[in-house]
Amino acid sequence: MNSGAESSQIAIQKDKRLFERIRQGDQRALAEIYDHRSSLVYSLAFSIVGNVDDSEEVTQEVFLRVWRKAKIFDPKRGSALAWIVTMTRRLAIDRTRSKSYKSQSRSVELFSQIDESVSSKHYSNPTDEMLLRLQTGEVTIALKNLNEKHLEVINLSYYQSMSHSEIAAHLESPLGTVKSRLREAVNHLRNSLNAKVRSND
Amino acid sequence: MIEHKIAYELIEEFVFGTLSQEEHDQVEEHLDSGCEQCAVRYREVSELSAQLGQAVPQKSPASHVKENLLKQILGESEFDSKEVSSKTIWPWVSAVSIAASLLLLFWANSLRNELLQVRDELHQSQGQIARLIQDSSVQKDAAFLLGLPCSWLVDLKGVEPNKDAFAKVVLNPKIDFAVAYVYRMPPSPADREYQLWIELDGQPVSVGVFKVGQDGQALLKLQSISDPMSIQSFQVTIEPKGGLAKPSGMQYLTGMNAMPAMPSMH
Repeated sequence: MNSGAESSQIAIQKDKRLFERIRQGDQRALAEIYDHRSSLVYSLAFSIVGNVDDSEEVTQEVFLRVWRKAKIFDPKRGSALAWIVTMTRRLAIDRTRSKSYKSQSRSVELFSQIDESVSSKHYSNPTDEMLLRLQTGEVTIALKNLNEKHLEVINLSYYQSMSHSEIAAHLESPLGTVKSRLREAVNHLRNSLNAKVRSND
Repeated sequence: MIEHKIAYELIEEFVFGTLSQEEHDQVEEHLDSGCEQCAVRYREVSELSAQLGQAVPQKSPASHVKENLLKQILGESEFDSKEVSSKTIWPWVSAVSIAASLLLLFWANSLRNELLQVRDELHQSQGQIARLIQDSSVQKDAAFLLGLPCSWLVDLKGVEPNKDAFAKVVLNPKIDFAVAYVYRMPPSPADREYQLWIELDGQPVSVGVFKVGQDGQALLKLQSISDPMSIQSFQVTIEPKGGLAKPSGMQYLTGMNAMPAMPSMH
């Protein structure tokens, strides 16, 4: 196991222990999991909603739900981190819908906090820009190993938060093609990252 | 209920959060029904989603988000059972004489005022408890850092016209977070927050925003310090709420990362 995977496993075990304490009503455990995961939640929310106030509200709501729903969280369905990330994305995207954000504005504001020298460059391909703006690491390497079409649907679906229908319209491709291409891309990424089902860890 | 084949095709969108509310509920219902094939796919995609999320550039939320969160959970657990509405008192009035109702009205108003006062005090106490829980958690991290070999302290000094202000940052080369104690700073205005920056390769990188109360002090945990030894210097500026990507406001504190010699590290 490489050091990245090892630290990831340690972090997942820490989440698990904290969730057990939260289930018992331990408020300090909530404070600890907040310290552990709030940067991820906030950054992910910010990459979707594109502003500080909404990102803060999403972050607070996510951890409130962790507090209220920890008792019904089922580890068989996946890790606590996966649950938190799924919840964050859902709440953040709901917020953009409720405030009538447009997909174009989400795309423009994505990663707006990054260095201006990066922002000011012109990229002919938006997926190149997405890759450049992600933190370096295993995920970026795995993304770079995807073919162009798979990378494009991952960017639009995950990092631009577009629905299948929106992607189909954007690419002028049939909906079925988009679905199958995204499924293939997910499978390639999983194989590349050696993603493991951690629910029973 | 939604068919298995349709639900299975929607798992990616379900996890990525892009389904409509109706479709989301239908897929959730299908998963709750115990479909093993969809459960496996859900686990696969959600674990991948967590990995993809960690590649997004990390930025910490302002300290008040945690305070508000802790205040809210304290409120939920303690206040619900104590709140007494004056509505429960009013129905009694109709059943007694005018004189008695006037007396009751006076009593109800007094009680209501008393309850409002108790509510305010409770609210303040919740805020204090929330801050204490947060401080206690950071103090625990600070104690952990200070107890490790090779940890060191960086002094940040106040800049004119706030030369009395100072801060101390605790770092360790093997730990990816640090803790900062800040003293004698002017209280932050409602719409502004202090922002702490580290200098890496000559570029400022934000490691946290924080508020300072009337006591002029703050205690904060700096997340995502991937390589403490590569930090060249620290500075604290005042910025709009939530912080900015680059420092723009007045500088309050500054300090070089004067790391002690550590032969064991080489």
